[in-house]
Amino acid sequence: MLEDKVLIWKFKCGSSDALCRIYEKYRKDLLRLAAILSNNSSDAEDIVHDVFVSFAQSAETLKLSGNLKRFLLTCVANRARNKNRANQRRQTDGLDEAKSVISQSKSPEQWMIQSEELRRWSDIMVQLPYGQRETVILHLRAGMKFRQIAQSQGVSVNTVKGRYRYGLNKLRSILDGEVEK
Amino acid sequence: MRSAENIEKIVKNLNLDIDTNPQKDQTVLSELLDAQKRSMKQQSALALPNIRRFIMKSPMTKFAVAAVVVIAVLIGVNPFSNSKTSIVLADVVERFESVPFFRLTIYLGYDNSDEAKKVEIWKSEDSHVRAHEGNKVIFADFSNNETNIIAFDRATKQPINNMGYVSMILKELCSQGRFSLDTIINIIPSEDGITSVETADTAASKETVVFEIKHKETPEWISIWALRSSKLPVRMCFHDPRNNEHGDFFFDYSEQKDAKFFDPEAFTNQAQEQPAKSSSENVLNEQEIIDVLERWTVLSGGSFPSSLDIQTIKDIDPNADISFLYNGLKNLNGAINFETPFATFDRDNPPSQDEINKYFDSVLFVLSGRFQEVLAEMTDWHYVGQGVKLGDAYTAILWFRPKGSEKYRVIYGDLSAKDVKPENLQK
Repeated sequence: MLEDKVLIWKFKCGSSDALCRIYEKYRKDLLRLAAILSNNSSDAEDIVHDVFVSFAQSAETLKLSGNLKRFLLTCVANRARNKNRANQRRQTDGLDEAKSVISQSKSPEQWMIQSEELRRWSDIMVQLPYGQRETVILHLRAGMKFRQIAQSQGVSVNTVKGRYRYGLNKLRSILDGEVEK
Repeated sequence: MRSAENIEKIVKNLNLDIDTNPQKDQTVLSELLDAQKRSMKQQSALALPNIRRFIMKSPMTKFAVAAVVVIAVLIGVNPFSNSKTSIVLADVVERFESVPFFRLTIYLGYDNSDEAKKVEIWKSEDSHVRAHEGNKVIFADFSNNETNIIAFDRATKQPINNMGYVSMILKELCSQGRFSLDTIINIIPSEDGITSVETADTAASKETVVFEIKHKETPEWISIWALRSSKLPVRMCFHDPRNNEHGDFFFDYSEQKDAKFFDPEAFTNQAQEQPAKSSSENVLNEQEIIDVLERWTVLSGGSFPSSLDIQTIKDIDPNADISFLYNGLKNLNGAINFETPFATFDRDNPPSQDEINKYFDSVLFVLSGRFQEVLAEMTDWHYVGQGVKLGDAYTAILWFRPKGSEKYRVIYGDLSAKDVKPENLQK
């Protein structure tokens, strides 16, 4: 992706055009991933917003020799994982007894407008344990290798492969269950 | 009961449509630009931007060096198994470095788009480089360790920001102080992985050998055609199936440019001498014709217009790229002192579509008016560009005889120009 290399280079030189182009090019991919990982529109929007803001501030320090899209997707996955941990902690501590409400309605302030299909799949994927959900989505939708996912999650490749296998099995039983209904 | 493969296929092929609220998009984008500005200000307080400093600090540079080492090892151990004359890619890389001068023409684009970006790079015997990319003329000096890259606007001859494909390629090359093929190869893949080199089935050609370079983890590929006899590369192309990005590189070793061509001072002095020249001097006018033709064609979708008059210029999509129009206007404004609100157009605060539509007629006026004015200074001009694709180096689209000249100037579909004797003009 020669275009991405030029964009990164221009961005590192301080080009606002390059930042606009990167934003326009990848914002939907990032929102899609965040939506399916968090199953919560406002969390997803926060995650992508934060990823872009820290990216915008990182021109001087950014050390990126690989794929820009994958880098941004990994940033989203990392933030979604942290957010998920924080949400779980809040729920275990009893600080947030109210169930997280999935924002479905479209408000003027809402950034992301999800299709029915995306909502349906977010609801399906949320039934998978987080690690499995992330692995399946990053591998199948973001095209990441198990090795790369393992690096990003800080676990072994075998663990990632296991999560993937279990994730697919669980997904299969959910989908088969849907058909039986 | 679905199989695991079936589930994989379903998830992979899901059409998960998503849209964004344009107002919110604008808000987020402004926030990002603010964040970027603040961050850049803090950094510039420490040190002013300096291209050379950037080059030496860049992690991409370090990557390029590391990647070159890897590929050098790889290409050295991949023998050409079915060869009539045994050549490995390392031979081609080495031979290319020993070439005193060359011209490299690059076409970059996407499969589904007619628009191709053309880039030309010339290298001199004493390691000076000149490149043309759109309206930019870029000079680089590889002759000593202190490598400099300077860019100028082709029309105004003023120094400009030198960011773009050429600058990036040159920057990578600068990191090694030499113009090497392996560095060009390594600029292309988007991953910092190891590439494998294979020799393609070359039974079809006794003259050439083809090397196919593949990335281990991504689907990108690069092919290099080299002559068996001289081991010189003649063509290189790459393709990235993920976004259909492709590039074609053509190497030419026949034309040696003089030292003046590579001298940035000579280039800028030419600008200062320009006003003293009579209007019949064809250099500036020809360049203007080419510049306008290029913009006109790109804005028309990549094919040259059917005729050169106001009617066809009106076919240009009013929603065409703003900055492209703006740059064209800026150059032409310099020539005829015409002013539109776009002349003060601020990229961070772009005009609304209504404003663009309002002044679009002015844009057309400037383009067509100036074009006719320039053409009127030429004698016996003929335009036959209808339907010719931008980048077609073999089809003449326009020829004219500059005043006082015996020969005709012929402009081709790739916007190159040559002197042709009247008797040699295509019938």
